[in-house]
Amino acid sequence: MKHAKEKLAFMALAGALIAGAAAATAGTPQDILNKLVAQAKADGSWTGSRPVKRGQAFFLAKHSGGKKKTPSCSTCHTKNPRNSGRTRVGKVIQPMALSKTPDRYSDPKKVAKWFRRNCHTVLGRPCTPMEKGDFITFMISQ
Amino acid sequence: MSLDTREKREGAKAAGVLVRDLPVRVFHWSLVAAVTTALLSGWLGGKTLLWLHVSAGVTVLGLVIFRLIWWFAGGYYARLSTYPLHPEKVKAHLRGLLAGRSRFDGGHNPAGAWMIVAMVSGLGLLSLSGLAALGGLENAGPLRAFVSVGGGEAAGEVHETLAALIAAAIALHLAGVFMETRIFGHPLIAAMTKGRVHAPGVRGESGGPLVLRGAVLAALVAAAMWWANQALAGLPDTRWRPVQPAAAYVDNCADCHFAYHPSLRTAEGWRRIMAGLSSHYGEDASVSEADGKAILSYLAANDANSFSTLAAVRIGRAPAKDERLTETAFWKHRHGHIPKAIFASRAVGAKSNCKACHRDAESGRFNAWNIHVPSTAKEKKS
Repeated sequence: MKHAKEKLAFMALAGALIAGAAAATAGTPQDILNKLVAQAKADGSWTGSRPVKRGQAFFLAKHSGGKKKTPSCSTCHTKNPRNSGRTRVGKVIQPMALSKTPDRYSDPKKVAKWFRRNCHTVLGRPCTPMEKGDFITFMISQ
Repeated sequence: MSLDTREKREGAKAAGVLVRDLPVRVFHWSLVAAVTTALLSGWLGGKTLLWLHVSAGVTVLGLVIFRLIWWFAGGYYARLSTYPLHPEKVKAHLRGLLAGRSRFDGGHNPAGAWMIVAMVSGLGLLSLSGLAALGGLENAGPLRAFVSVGGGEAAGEVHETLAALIAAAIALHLAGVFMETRIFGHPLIAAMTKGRVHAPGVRGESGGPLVLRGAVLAALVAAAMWWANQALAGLPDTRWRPVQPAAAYVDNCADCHFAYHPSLRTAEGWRRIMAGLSSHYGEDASVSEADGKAILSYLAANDANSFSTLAAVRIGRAPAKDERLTETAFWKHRHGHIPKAIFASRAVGAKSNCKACHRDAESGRFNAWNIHVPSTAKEKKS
């Protein structure tokens, strides 16, 4: 009985430590990417090969199904992610490339907000975890 | 009689007699400069020279106030009581002109006297209507607290009409002076420059005390105007107040477009916009439920009905297709003259990017003097 209690306490401590570590790394692009890869693996869509190329193709592709005026990510972000883009009402968007805008892909809420909005706007559907992972991988590489 | 006095008298004879006291002459030529500046900056200067236009207009107002008092405190010929304003005198004068006759007695002939009355009152009304327009339309200047947007619009109409009438009066005045000096040889220009004329039977006046009196009066008028302006500027602003945008509003909305001031739509309009965020002018701009609530409460608390600026009244409260500011009649009227290329330019990007030219767009004030079309927008589209 006493043994079981100690075991429980140990597990609680370990759990707290892991959660703490996870929280500490929640602010890095790699962590957000890792989570997306884990999700892709879980839903079976993960293929693993050449995510940078796939991310780039996804970024440049003309999608259908979204809103008419925004067929591609590059409509607003320009074809080179290292350039700053412009919203349809003229506001400057900082470059998507991590090397140019180092604070990108570090706030999970922000990342979730923009994938939610922009996938719906450009593709007319939510993006798959693999598409999101590829996108971030491409941006980290830039 | 000593030689000394005779010399003095001879000297006075050579210089003529004083018919336009120095304060009147300084007033006249200051008025010429101020009115010219105000008319030119008003017609040609656009919004950029509004500060010059207003400065010149306020100067005109000060000069008019001075002149009104000088009608009763000035030299003999400057006094309203000496003006031949009676209709019979006007008729006689006009009949004389037709017969090729005009008399100069040191003062003003009936037509000239009426011209002065018309100018002084017309310029008084012109400058006051200008301040009323500034107060109503821009929520600025000494009359800010007393004039509504509608009142400012009416004052603006009166101001423009009066300006045209004043311009016509100036033309008539110049024609009259030309006729009097060239055809009848009356020394009107000499009178208004040197002050003294040679004319038989003309009564002169002694200038010394008038100069001091004029200087004191001018200083008093300037001080009174400064004081009045300070006192009126201190009145509370019931039409505009600074607002701090809610964090959720900035976070969710100001990434794609500048943070539109809440006074640009009514609470009902904002509610419609917030209800349709998943398809917001062709994009998904959805927000979390909690953020949506915070944003709407900020927008509704500071909506168009809680502000009375020109933008709030004429754009915020106006019906607009899809709640687009650029679809309001007022927006179209005010931006109709702007070439499409400016809106399409890199520096502006879209009609809805108010902030590109209206530097105070985020405050909701949209004052005329804060409009600066980016110079790069005027070049060819890059």
